[in-house]
Amino acid sequence: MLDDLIESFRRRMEPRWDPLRERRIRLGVERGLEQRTVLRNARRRTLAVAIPLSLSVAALAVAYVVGVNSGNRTAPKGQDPARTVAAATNQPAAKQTATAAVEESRVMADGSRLELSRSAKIDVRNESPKRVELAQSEGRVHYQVTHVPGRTFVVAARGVQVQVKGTVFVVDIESGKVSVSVEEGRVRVAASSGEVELGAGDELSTPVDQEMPADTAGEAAPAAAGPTARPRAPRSEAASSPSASALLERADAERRSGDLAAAAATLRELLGRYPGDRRAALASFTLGKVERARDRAAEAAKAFQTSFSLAPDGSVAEDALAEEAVAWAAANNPAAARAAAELYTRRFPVGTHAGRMQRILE
Amino acid sequence: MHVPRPGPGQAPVDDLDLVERLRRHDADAYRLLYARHARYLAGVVFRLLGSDQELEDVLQESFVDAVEGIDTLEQAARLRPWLVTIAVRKVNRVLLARRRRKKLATGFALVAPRSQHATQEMSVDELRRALDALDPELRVPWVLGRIEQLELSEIARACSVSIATAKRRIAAAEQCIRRWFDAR
Repeated sequence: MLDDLIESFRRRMEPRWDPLRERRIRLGVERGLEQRTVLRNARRRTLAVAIPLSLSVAALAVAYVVGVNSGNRTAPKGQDPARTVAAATNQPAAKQTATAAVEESRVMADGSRLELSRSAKIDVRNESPKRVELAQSEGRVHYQVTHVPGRTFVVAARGVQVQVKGTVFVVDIESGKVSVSVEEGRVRVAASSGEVELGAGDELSTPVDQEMPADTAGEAAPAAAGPTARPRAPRSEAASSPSASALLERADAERRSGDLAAAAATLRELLGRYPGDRRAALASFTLGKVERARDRAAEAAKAFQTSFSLAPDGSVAEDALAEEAVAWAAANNPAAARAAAELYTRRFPVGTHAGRMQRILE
Repeated sequence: MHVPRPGPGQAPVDDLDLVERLRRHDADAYRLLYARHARYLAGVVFRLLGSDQELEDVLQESFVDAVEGIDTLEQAARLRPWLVTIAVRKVNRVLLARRRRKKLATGFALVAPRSQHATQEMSVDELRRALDALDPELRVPWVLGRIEQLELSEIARACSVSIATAKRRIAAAEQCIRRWFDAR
């Protein structure tokens, strides 16, 4: 009986596939490819500046640490102790404390690669042939861990233990929660609420465990406030004014990681900074989809409305208008839903969504 | 209307040429890739998701990742299953996010059937509901195996698990689904 049902399921479960949809998705692919090209070029430009700058900062930091170690100096007043830049020292790795002030990449002795967001803080608690243990207390870190047979690699993130072998994953601490997403391989995540194994493509969010401060930068804090404190390097103008492409790319990444609140904020930032950009209508349309996914129907409707207003003859205008009508209906605003549906039927009398609009009007 | 779908091992021979063109960054190659595989992939993703929602996002991101990562494809002849693997990873994210949003219990057995009509005839919609209640790590291999009829090795690769684990998960999913219908 189940076999018959499966056959029916296979036969009936086909997506709607028409030229309009095919074209819309293809345009989305083109846009995605274009954005990644722009981002790649921007990264190349950033690296060209950042690498010499990083070397200079590291050299200054080493010089300062050597001076501190020999002279037992204390940090000058007025410097922000939280803005510590990690420096290569002669201390054992386990004692090194690193607080990322700017986005940076680090390569460990075994070839494992860590990419830190600007706010990321990492403390290397143990680095031996049998065990590597890092404590991440803030921000987002992308880990690409080299597989070493017999070696345990553990990231402790505010009460959440992520144990890996060879894999690629991200730990993000934000707004009171720890998120782990796995790109390749498998990790085991343990929190006070239990343990779970995640595979490629899996994501998990769990509240920060306030009862387990030992895994946080508890030991790092005194060091950060100590004599090696440094003011954070000033942000460049480019970093404080991301381009429309960079914001779109960031919003896409945030959507992919499931952080819809951040994606919505990024898209709003884009619309605020670049209201005249040719991609603004598409950004607003995407914002509508994000808000809809967050069950914020009224906000979604407004975003779809803005999208249509920005480009009433654009490639997403028809969809934006239809989605606006549906979203207003979901937001229990039948008058606004009806107005949008009426406008749709006038503008697109034989459009893809004509049936849905008719149902709203009825 | 049901459109016959070639299996993952039956990708057109000229995919080899297509992969070569993609690797040379031929400007038209990605359009050909899309034209050749989008319809098939849309069907797989649709049946994995169980709905139309987020289908377009998953497809777009899958094709962008495929074009960007074409150099990581080891066997050009396996282009189509490779595309399925990329899409499955994205579908997993969507299903997990969807599951978190709905705050469903993690165990299938803990989720009660929604319909109150015990005599309701078995239907495709009912199977969809059963799949919605299933944990994504069981749901995805089951759909790939029983609906898409992929080979076990392809399912294992797409789900990043061993063949034994894929087999075990399909069996577990089947058991859950049968239990679902038995409870009707």
